[in-house]
Amino acid sequence: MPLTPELYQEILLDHSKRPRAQGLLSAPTHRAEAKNPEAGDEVRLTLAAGVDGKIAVVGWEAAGSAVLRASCSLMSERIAGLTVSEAQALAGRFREFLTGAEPAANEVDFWEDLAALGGIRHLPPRVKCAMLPWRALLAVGPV
Amino acid sequence: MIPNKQAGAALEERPGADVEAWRKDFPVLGRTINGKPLVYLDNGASAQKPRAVIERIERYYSTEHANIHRGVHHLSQEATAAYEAARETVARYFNAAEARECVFTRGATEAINLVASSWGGANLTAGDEMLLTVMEHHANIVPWQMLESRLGIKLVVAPISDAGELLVDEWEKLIGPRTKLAAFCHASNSLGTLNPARELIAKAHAHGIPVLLDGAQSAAHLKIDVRELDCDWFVCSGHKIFGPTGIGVLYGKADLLGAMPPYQGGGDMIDRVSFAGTTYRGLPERFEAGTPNIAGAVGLAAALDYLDGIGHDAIAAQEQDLLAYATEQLSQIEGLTIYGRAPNKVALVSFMIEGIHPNDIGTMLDADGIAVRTGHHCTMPLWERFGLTGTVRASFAFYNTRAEVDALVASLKKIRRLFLG
Repeated sequence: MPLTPELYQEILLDHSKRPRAQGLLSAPTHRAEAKNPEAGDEVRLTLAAGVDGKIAVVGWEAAGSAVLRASCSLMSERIAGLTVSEAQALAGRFREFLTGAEPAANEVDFWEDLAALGGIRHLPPRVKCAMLPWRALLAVGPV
Repeated sequence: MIPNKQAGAALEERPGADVEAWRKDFPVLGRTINGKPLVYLDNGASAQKPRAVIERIERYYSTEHANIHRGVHHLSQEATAAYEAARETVARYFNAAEARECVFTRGATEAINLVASSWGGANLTAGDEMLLTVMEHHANIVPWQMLESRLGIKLVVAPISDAGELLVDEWEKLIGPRTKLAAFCHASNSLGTLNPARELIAKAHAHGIPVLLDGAQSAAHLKIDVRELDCDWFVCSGHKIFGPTGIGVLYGKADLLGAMPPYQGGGDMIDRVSFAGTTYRGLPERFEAGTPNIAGAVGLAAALDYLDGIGHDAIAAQEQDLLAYATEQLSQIEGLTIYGRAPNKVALVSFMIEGIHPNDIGTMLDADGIAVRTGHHCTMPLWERFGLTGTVRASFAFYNTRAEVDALVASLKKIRRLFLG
């Protein structure tokens, strides 16, 4: 899927205006928070994993930019159904996608809508915003 | 003092402005960013460089470079002469009484650290107070906080009004028997507020307190006269006044500067080195340890000569026109709040649009080729005072135009529609 600036903008705006999974879970199995004091960004992340170890529900709260909220929202959709360690492996791959070498076309396809966040790859301060929920995901511990 | 044109009702475009000719002096202004003509409104962070500066640095490295102050060969003498001529230019530009009162540093930050470490280390003791303001740049806070933990001095912070003006009476009331030093910005890099420096310095002197004036943000906009201001120290950064990065100036009154111990040790600052004891040189070499940024100094002098050539009245007129026009045009955007409403401001506008994060605004302006600064602008305590984490800041230079303000406003309206429409 060619990622035009318009499409990037559309996905980002959609997820920042109508964020999925916003709000913390009342009975999570995992929780973490991450901060970026330089930008005043904050994310709190909660997960509820089932007996099979798979993430059933995600809930988050964030203070920060549209890029940050969209990243929280898109991540929540993507990690549902994965185990926590699978989700964390995905976080590592996403970091590589945003900060590593220019990704190949198939890697862009792999990320589906999340690839929209690749539109800020060239702006490292914005990459920090986009990575914040993923940093929380990498830091989650059992409640 | 800059006249208050923000309140002016009639915003007629200034006749006879030479902006188009000035713009041709700055090669980078011909660039495109993301397929759009560059609209550079981040001058408060760093100003662009005129050809006169770029060519001067090239000529220095092409024909004049050697190490200074120690060679017996011809080229070293030429480089020394160029470096010291740059110091003379700086002294003349800021109207210092003597060139030796002007020390080259890496920038305003290093100049403040130099005074804090050298003068502060020699003259301040536990329980002494120094007076700052809440609108200071981190560079005029953190070096003093380091003294706070090193020596046990106390930092006293003067408040500002909601419009972003220093509360001068409150400031003066904070001067007490233990106050040993005052330091404040000439112009706020985040609000644009131009502080009444001369008045504040006179008040401090009446209490017997020396003043460090942080000119990092004012020097690009105003002709600075250190003797008229009567500041004890003045600091600024070359790159914000159209000169190179990595060079700045510490001006200090000769008697004060001459009594200060060295800041860094090394070559060039010594008289005689022996393991039995070392003696130091006088001003300004005592504060310039190691091979200095010779090309930077020479480039800075070229920038100052260039500004003198344009003329400070012309610069002030163009910038104040842009400030008034930008203030008026931005105010018409729904949900936009300007922070910093002082009657006397340098040409920058700090603002927020309700419901949109400054970083998102900055990123989307960039897509339209418009460069602004977003975030806390290195003044976190100031934004805490306003209950914010930062703003969007458009900061102008004399080479900016009303058309560029129009581009900014059009892009902001588009962003607002996208996010909130």
